[in-house]
Amino acid sequence: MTTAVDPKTAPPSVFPAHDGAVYEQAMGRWSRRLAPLLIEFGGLADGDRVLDVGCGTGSLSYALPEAANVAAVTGSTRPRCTSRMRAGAALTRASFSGTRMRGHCRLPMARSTAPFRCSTDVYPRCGACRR
Amino acid sequence: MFIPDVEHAVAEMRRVVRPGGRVAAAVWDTFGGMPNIRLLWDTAAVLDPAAERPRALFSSLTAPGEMSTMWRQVGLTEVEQTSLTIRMDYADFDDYWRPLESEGPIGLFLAGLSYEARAVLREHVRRGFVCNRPDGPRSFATTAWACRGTVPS
Repeated sequence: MTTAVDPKTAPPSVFPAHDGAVYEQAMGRWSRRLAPLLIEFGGLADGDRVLDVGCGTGSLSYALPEAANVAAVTGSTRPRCTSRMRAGAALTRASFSGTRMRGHCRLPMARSTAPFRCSTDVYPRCGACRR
Repeated sequence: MFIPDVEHAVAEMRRVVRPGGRVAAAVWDTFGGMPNIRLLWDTAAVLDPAAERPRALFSSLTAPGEMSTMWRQVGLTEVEQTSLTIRMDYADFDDYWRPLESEGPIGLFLAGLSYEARAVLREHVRRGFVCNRPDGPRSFATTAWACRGTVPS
């Protein structure tokens, strides 16, 4: 018979992704659909600066400038995700180095126990973080 | 949902946001909000009870009230948790199955099956997907938990 699953013995807390386009089909397209709902619930106003923690391929990041005239969007994700994000950028015909998007800052999330903070030396103009 | 140390992560979000700023997040409700994904894991569990462990249904922050509890725990105020629902619309079974084969926890799980076990699972899931009608568009309501809170001034 089945037994209850102990979250502590669950598989590693990662989403193994191999291909930007396939990821887009598996989850990205649905995350993009969810993004406007989260933005409405979270609240967003013109001039806001947003830090998108764990932005992955940018499903939420790219929806932010469409919902309001935001001052800045800073995405953070694991370094390996960054190339996916660029692939995602190509998919959504957006430029990740555009004026509204400030690339990513290194905020180690999965597996890391180090406190994460915006690496302001890389993106010194990130306004979402308290400095 | 893939963050092991949730309290640390949410506390850090609170730390880096300015006073008066908002911390909001959404987590797919892998346990009770994704019937399309449940279809696969539940079928796999029936075919092989050993498949129970990698079902990965208990993602971080998906227990009832877990998000709001955590938001309050790290000192956020005006905390509110809700459900956000979208529809996952598939053109046909292939549109549903193919992306799952290589990406995410399901891709990992399927990769660990023998060719035969994988084919059997695929066929049973396909039957559940088409439900005795010609293959074609299917739509699943899918829900994410979401939570918001304010950093106190």
